[in-house]
Amino acid sequence: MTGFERMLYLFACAVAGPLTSAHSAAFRESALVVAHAGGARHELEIRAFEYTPRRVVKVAVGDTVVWLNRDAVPHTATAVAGAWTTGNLNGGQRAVFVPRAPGDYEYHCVYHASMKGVISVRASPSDVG
Amino acid sequence: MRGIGTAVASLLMVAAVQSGAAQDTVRPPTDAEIAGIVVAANRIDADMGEYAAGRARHAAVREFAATMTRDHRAVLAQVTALAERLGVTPARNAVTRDLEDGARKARAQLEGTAAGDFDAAYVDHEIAFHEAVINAVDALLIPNARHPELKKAIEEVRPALVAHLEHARHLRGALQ
Repeated sequence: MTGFERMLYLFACAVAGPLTSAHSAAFRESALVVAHAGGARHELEIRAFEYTPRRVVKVAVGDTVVWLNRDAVPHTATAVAGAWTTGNLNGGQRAVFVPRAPGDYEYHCVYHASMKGVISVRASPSDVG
Repeated sequence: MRGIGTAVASLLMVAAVQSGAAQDTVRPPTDAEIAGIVVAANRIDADMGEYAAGRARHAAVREFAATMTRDHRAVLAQVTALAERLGVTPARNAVTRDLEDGARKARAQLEGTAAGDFDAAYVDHEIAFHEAVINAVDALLIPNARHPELKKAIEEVRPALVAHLEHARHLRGALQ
């Protein structure tokens, strides 16, 4: 992750992380459009201690990946390699990640070791099957 | 040290058996009593996690204990808010009182455990506790919950209990 990517990611998390009200949700969406216009948006749910889709989500560089925690308990989506994390996601909270390089991004929940997922990132939308 | 968990397990197994017999002889718990049991169980394990996090020697056990506190406090908050919204006041009954008595005994037993034995004893307790609570959820709480939202909330908490149990078993294996 380059410095710019990290800054963009942190910005997105800063916007999305701590806000929970309906008003804040609308603000988050606006902020995401500004920050990540052009890419597709991929919604993942965290439900019953699983990421759904569980294992692989094919996305293109520049797309926006959104996790929404539907469980009552806090979770995270954190790169196994440690390069990025959503931070603590309480029930009902969202966080976003915008990959800037192709590759398989393995991630897990730092609190619950059984929760694992992979985001498979392709160089361009035409590579996404 | 298996006795700590066994006491709790026996308690909730009895509750589960009573639930099976409830149709004939024992009044099934009301939604208020079910909410009370859920609140008590989550508070007990959150408090136990807080205590264990301060005593455990292994980092993995401390992290597990912190997760128990974090998760059970979150469920406690959710169930409390739900009960308030539904106009259900969590009520105590024999199961709640037995749970609290069992928790006091388990805590006393853990406090008397030597430092070198504490991690395994705490994890054993958590395994037995979660096995028992899952049994109670399946046999007592879900079948008897009347309000659909309360039933759904308990059903949605079950995967957390299963994940905690698996985590504890994995941890116990690593402590061998």
